[in-house]
Amino acid sequence: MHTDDEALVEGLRRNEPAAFDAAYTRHGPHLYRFLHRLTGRRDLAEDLFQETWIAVARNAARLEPNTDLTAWLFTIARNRYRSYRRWAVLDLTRLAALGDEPREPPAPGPAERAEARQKAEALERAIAKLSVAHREVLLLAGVEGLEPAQIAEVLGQKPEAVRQRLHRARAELAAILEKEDAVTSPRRDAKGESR
Amino acid sequence: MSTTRPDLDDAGNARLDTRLAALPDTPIDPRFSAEVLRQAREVLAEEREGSAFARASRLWYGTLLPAALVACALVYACDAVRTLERIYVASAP
Repeated sequence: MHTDDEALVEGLRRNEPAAFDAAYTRHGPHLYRFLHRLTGRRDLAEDLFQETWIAVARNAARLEPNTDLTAWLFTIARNRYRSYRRWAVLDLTRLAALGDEPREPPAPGPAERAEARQKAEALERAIAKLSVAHREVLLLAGVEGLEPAQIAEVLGQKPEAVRQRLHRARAELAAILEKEDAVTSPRRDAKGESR
Repeated sequence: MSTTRPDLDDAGNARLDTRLAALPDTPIDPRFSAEVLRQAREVLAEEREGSAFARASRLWYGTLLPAALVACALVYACDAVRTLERIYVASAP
């Protein structure tokens, strides 16, 4: 664990506002990015983000001294999403939204990076088509850069199970990207346009 | 529809990971972020006050009250011994 995170854990255990602010500044954007891609909805991501940090404030004093702060925060965020999905079964309007979560377009980039933007958009679409289990492990490993031990802690699984899940997730993502490329390439040829 | 999944080698995994790491950021609304921080700080302050009360309760029930009870018991015992002594002396022939 990063030594700065160790100091933050100590500060959080003492309910220090400065330590809480520092943890929020350092980890907040990553948690929001994870929730946004996991849910595919800005409004839901914002709700879960808010619930996550309220839970962090309530439980900070109960942290163990050797807690991995990053893994702990992502665990809370992920559990909030799982709780939402569980309760969504009882709420018909939420249930309808679960199966049809709108995907928001990614943020626009500069014109000269149009190709990179197209690739990123294709990747975003592919991620959205993954199962939740595969999506979350790919986001944690590939986007957020968590270590395997941290991912195992977040998912509540053994490291070997995480490796297998990550392998299957990558394979599914690659298959979806291949299909996307196969679908878009003939269209370009038919129109005779180059991009 | 079944999907044939490619068997990725390390290079394939690395390419995927590079693409994932290069995804654009998803910015959070600054006003929303500030509001969440404000609400979380309120909860933190409540927890801090609550824990101070809990510490005071533990100190009272765990240390001060038992010490007071033991002191009262000792005073009572000493007084009882003195009373018995007076009775013994008074009733001596």
